[in-house]
Amino acid sequence: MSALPTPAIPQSQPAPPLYPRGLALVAGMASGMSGFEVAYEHYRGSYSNKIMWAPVILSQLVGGAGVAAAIRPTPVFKAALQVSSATTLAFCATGFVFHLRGISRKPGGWSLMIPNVAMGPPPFAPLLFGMAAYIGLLADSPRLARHLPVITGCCALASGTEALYSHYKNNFRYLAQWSPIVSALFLAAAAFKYRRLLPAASATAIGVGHVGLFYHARGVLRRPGGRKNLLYNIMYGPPILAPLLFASCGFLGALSCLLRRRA
Amino acid sequence: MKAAAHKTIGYYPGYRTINQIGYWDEATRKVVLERLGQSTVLRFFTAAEAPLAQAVVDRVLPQEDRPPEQRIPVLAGIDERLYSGRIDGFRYEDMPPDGDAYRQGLAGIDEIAHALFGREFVRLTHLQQDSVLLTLHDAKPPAAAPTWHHLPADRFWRLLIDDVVGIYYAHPYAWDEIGYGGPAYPRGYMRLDHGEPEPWEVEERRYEFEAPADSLSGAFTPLGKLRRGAKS
Repeated sequence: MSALPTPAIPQSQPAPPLYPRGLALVAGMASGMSGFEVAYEHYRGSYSNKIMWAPVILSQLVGGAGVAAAIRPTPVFKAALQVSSATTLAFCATGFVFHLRGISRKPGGWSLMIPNVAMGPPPFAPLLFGMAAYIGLLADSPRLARHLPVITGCCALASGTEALYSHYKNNFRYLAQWSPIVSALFLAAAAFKYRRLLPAASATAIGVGHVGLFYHARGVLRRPGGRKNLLYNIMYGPPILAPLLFASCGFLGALSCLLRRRA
Repeated sequence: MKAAAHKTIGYYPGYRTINQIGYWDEATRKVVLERLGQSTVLRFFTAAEAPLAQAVVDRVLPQEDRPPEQRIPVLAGIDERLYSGRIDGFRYEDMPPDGDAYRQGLAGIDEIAHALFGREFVRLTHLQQDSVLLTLHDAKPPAAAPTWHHLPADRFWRLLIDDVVGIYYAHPYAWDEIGYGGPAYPRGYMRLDHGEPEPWEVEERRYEFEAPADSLSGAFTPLGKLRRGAKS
């Protein structure tokens, strides 16, 4: 409609870095949050293996480096974010193996798979823990935009599986406990195949995660002792930040939509 | 296992603990199967005592609601314990050894039956048998029953009840009745909150218990206790 000539984008120039400061901040904050979750979950496991401290410490390093790189994106801070993120990802893979080994070492091992997965170390938690580090590692790289939909889909499936067996453990007492499973399938389908649905699927997952946060918090307060035994009830009640971890899968999806539009 | 022919009593229709056998370890399996295949041959009680002992046990814990082949051999369990001399590890100083206590106690029960109704215990009606046992429960046996002058009725009653209840509820058929999953090792439990049933458990279906008309089961009286001196 407009008669004005649109300025031509020079094709030869490299693509500008994609929201690197914002992404560094996201990586840092998310890492700090998941560090809290892993700290008390591993406390429940009484830090029986020294390596259980690794994610607690690394998450704070990624958190610090991410926030620093967001405030002052100097090469030092950016490098710190990349190194700490890469280290974290290596430990995530290790943690995945350790968690599987933990399940196999429970009495009955894999032959009692359902109770042992439900009661043992959550198999996919270490991989989901790597989400923030992954953004931190690639905050500066255009590869992030290409990877993100696939990562979103994988995280949705992993997080949905975690919700499935955790809620099965609770006998799906509330109908709402099915919502993360349905939402995860929707998000994975959108991320892998039906990309046009990704904004809607991401928004749904974010919404489901926040509703879940409310229900989990209510579940914690409804336990015997409620607020008076708060720390204990957070530790042994419904995992309070787990729904946010699910919401962050939706956030990854939303991020991938934004980056695609920008590109 | 004849699952189809099995009639479950209690609040858990269709539930059978033995179907969980695949989830137990070898040692557990062996123990539970031994209880199912327990011999009913009596070696401690004599042929003369056996009918009376059986009648007493049948009134303490009636099993008429079970098909005969699914009744729990409680008397055989007591017999096995006394024959092999397994004891709780202690004995009251005013009580004889468990085996002797049973022999004397059974004779004493017949004495009460004679004192109250003029007949042997085994020939009384269910209601009369219950009234005989109630005197032991209340720790007030009639004075005309001489055994109880030296055998403390309250302690004998406690011995009998502990044995009957212990043996009954150790049996997998009783577990079917109460919906108990048997030994939890190695599977354990996973639904720890809100009293939700485990995936393999059966939802409880309650109904009103009505005591049979020919019994004293519906009535409650507190357990009797004999008076003892400061040192007894």
